This record gives sequence, C-alpha cells and structure tokens, in this order.
Amino acid sequence: MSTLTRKQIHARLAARPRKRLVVSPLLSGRQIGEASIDLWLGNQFIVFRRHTQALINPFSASRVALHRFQERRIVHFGNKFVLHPGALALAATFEYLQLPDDLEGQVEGRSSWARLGLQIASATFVEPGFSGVVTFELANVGNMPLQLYPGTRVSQLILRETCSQSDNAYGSGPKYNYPIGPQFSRVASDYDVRTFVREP
Amino acid sequence: MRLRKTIQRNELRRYARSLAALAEDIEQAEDFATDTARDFCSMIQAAAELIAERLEVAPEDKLPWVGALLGFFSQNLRFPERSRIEHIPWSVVQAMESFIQEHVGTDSNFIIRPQWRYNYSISEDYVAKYKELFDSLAPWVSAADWIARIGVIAAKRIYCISFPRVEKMNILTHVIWGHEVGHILGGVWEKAHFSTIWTAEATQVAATADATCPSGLTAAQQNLRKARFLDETMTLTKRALSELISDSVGAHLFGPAAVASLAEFSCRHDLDSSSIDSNGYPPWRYRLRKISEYVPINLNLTSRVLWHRQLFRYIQWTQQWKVIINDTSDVAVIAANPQSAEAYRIVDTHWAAIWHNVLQQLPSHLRASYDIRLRYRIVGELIDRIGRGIPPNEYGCWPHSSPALIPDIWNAAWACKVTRSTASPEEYDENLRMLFHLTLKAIEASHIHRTFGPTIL
Repeated sequence: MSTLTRKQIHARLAARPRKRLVVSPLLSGRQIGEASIDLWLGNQFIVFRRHTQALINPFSASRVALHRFQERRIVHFGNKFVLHPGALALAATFEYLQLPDDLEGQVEGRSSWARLGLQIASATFVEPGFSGVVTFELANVGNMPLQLYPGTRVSQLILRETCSQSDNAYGSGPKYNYPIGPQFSRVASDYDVRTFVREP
Repeated sequence: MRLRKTIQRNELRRYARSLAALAEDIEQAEDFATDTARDFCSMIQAAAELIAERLEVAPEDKLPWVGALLGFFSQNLRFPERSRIEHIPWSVVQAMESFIQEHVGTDSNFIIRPQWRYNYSISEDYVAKYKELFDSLAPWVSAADWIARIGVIAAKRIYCISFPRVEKMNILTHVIWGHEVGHILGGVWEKAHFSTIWTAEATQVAATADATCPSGLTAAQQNLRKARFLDETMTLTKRALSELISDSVGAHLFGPAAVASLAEFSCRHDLDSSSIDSNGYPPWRYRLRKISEYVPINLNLTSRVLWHRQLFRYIQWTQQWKVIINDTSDVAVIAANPQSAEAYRIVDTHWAAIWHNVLQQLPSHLRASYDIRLRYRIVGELIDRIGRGIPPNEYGCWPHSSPALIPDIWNAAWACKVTRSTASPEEYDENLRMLFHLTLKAIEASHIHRTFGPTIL
C-alpha cells in the first residue's frame, strides 16, 4: 500500500472511468500537492444547540431528536463562519469525491490551519468506492475565535492504493451514501447497537 | 366621530411602527439564499416608517386606504419570511437567479418561497407596485420620499416565485421556473403590444358576438351582452397568451426538460378542461401541443448512433406525447364556447408575430432556443456521470473540464428520470432521491465553478 504522489494523482484524475478518481470540481491544479489534494471547506455546517439538551444519548438519537440539538447552517461563499474556542462543528468538503475500488483516502487538516488552532478530526477515512462530499469535524482548540470562509483550503486528501480491489466497495447500501452536505451522526443505526444498548 | 378618527390615526401609527420593527427583525435573519429577501424587508420597513412619520398630516378620508396599504405590506412580509433556507432548495437559488438575470436583465431579483397550494406562480414586480401605491397617497407622502429611503433597491425589480411546498427537493419539477420567468417577458409584451392586436380584432369579435346573439333581446340587452362578450373574450385571450408565452419561454430556455416537466405536471389535471371552467387557463392538451412546436426534434439514424442511449430514449419519451396532442378533443372544447373560440382564433392568427416580439426582449445572443441536437455530447456525458453516482456539474476530463450549463444539467437529469426502469416503488423513490441530490449539487457546483474558477486559475 503506497501513497499516491502528484504524478499518480494526475494519472488517476484522467484515468478511464473504472479507475478514475473524481474530485469535482477541482478548480486549480495548484490544489494538487506532492502527495495530496487540498480540498475546499464547503458552505454547510452542522452546529450544536447546547441549550436545548442536557446530554447527548447517541443511541436513542432518532432523526427528530438529533435535529433538536444539532442544526444545519448555510454560509454563502464570501461570508464567514466563526468557530469559537472549544466549539465543535461538522462541515464537509465542497468537492464531491468518488474513489475507485482500489483507492482509499484520508482527509486531514492542513498544518497552516492547525497552527491557528483549527483541528480537523481524524475520523475521516474514505473507503474505496465512496461517492459524496466528506463530512469532517472542525474543532477550535485555540484561545481565539477563528474566522473560516467557504472555499478556503482547510483540508487535504491523501490517497493510497489498496492491496487488492475491494470486493464490496462503498456503493452497496452504506449509512452515508451520496451525501452532498455534512451528515448528522447515525451511530444509532449501527448493526450491533442493540447488542449492548438497552434503550427504548 | 372625532374620537373615532383619533383612535384610528393612533392605531395606524402603532401598526406601522410594529410592522417596521417586524420587517427589521426578519431582515436580520442570516439564512437567506440571496440578499433579495433582505432588500424586500428593507422596502417594507421604509414604507411603514415613512407612513408612521407622516400620518399626522394624512387627510382623514385617506386613513382607511392607509390601513389597507399597511395590511398589504404586512402580507407581503410572508414572502421573505418563508424564503429562509430551511424552506427552499437553497443551493440552486443563486445559480438560478444568475441564469434568469442573463435573460431578463441584471436588475431582476427573485425571492423563491414555498406555498401550500400545489402550483407554481410568480408575483408582479414589487418595487414598481410599491411606487404605484405611494403615488396614490400623494401629496402628504410620495413615491419619491420612499425611493429616497431605499436607495439602490429602487433601481431593482423584485419578483417572488412560489413553488409547491411538498416539492422542495424535487429539483426536476422546478424546471417550471422557466415558465414563471416567461410571465415576466409575457407581461412586458402585453403592455407593449396587446392593445394593438385587440384593436385589430375587436370588430371581428363584435361581429361574432352579434352573430351568436340569441333572438328576442331588446337593443339594450343586446348591447350589454356584446360588451360582456368583448370583455370575456379579451380576458380569455390575455390569459391564454400569458400562459402560452410562458410555456414557450420555458421550452426556449430548457428544451425537452420544459416539455417533460409540463407534461408530468399536466398528469394531475384533466387534459381538456375548458378555459371557462379553469380560471382562463388554456386546456392542457392545447398547451402541450403548443410547447411541443418549440422542441422540434426529428430522431434519425445519426441520433440513434451518436447519441447517448438514454438521451435517445428520453427524446423518444417526449415524443410519445404526440399521441395525446394529435387528439383534438381540446379543439372541440374551445369551439364549444364562442368567447373561447374567438380568443383562440386570435391566438392562432397572431402567434408567430407575438413570439417574434417576445424573443426581441432577449439579448441577441440568447434568441436561439435551446437545441439538444447541438448539446447531445455534453448531455450524454452528464447522463453518464449521473449513472456513476456523480453530480452532472461539469463535462470533459480534468484538467480540461468545464462547468455544465443549467439547461444541460436539467436535461441530463430528466433523461435519467424517464429512462430508468425500476423494480419496485421503493427503488423508484430511492433512485429519485439520489437523482435530486446529485442534480441539486450539480447546479450549485457548476455555478461556483463558473463564478470562482476564472479567478483561481
């Protein structure tokens, strides 16, 4: 398993459809680095409404319950989104990704932003065959509020070839298929939840 | 009476100030798709504040009219209030506004909002309407006073387009927005040209009124009947032209997608309802026949070989409606009523000249109708993207990709909708849900691509 370099990324972006990496739109070749692709911050955010709930119980979180403590906000291109110290928000890449069956990806924060206190959570593994925008978690671990703008390159996609082609790539009924904005958590729909969690 | 007038004036002032505050509150909401909703709130706020300030010098006999005006302004606040992003397909609004502005002028701005009624509609231009209303209040307050307060907004036109609330995410049916834009062009045409046509036809309509007049009426009754006949015929003619121009503008902008969306919408209605019984709307069969004239596509061997298979089947699908439009039941319905027969005789006689005049309103480079025969490669590529689960927002392979145009995106999406065979109702619903998502993302992404791409490269 090896990380794709600039030349390999270029080749994958122009490959025949079954092997093609889709990053759409990819507006500038300068977004492609030595071994990664910089991705734009999208214009949709999911923020927490802490005043409405005493705690989060993710296992009883029906869609309605989730919307009680999280809400979607839209910030138009050109406008700012302020992330306060200690705050967590869900965001997504603006680019729509589609990975072929023999590539996996990892979305990480860019160090320039990390130095300002912006942490992009590490739970953003992108499986082979995934189609959609990638949801990631934004946290401000600094002391000062951070002004973010849709379209800024806050994250990067690192790609690796898998040892073999995936037999059951992401397209066969996963929890978050074809998302076009950040997705609410659906941990309550995990197949093994009922084994350990006794919730009404 | 003096006491009553004092109370009335005080209450109107309080009402106006409350309305201004409410408009300001709504304006402060951060979640509008464009700035148009805020502009509309500012207009209402300025109107209410102006009336509150000048009410002391308003003549007593004007106070009931002031009350009615404030009521009108209050009701208008529902347009921006319901256009917050949670109620609308927000991601396509900026793209659509830009697209429409190219056709009807950059001074045109739109509020998109849901309505409970299952229909699409467009309002008149509210800036012009408000100017007219303030003119009716002169001299104690005037349109010039109001314009001075709203600044640059006065140079805009603001329309409100409504869509059926339950169809928020159904981006394919929103192709009908093209029809609503047609009402803007149709309105301009009507003001400039309708009276000329009517003057030329009034004598013939009056003769028909005489010829169909039942016997036994007095001269006064005959005159009254003739006046009603003329009035009803004129109303029917105007309404028919308004809808037919709008349908044709939709087809001009979006080609087969406009036919598909209108045809699908028509399935909810009787095809041959008389205009007399349906608020002046032309029979659906007549509308479908008319709109089909503006998407003339002859499929031949070349298209069968070169076109994407789904695109070919999509055009075949739009042509299946010929079976319906070749049936002339609607013609019999129209002919059954002398007024509607006259109205549609006028439409048919003048249609070519009318459509020519409507097209003259467009910039010269936009007068050619959308022709899918010239776009088949791009639309075919977009259909392929949808088939692979990718939004149809661009065509060509990176680094030579280009943002797709809204009409191409919509036609690719419609091609996918009408040609997908599904095993079950659940699968049909799930496929459509995915198609709506991909199309919504595509319209937004292509707009951002076009707007920011050139500055980044």
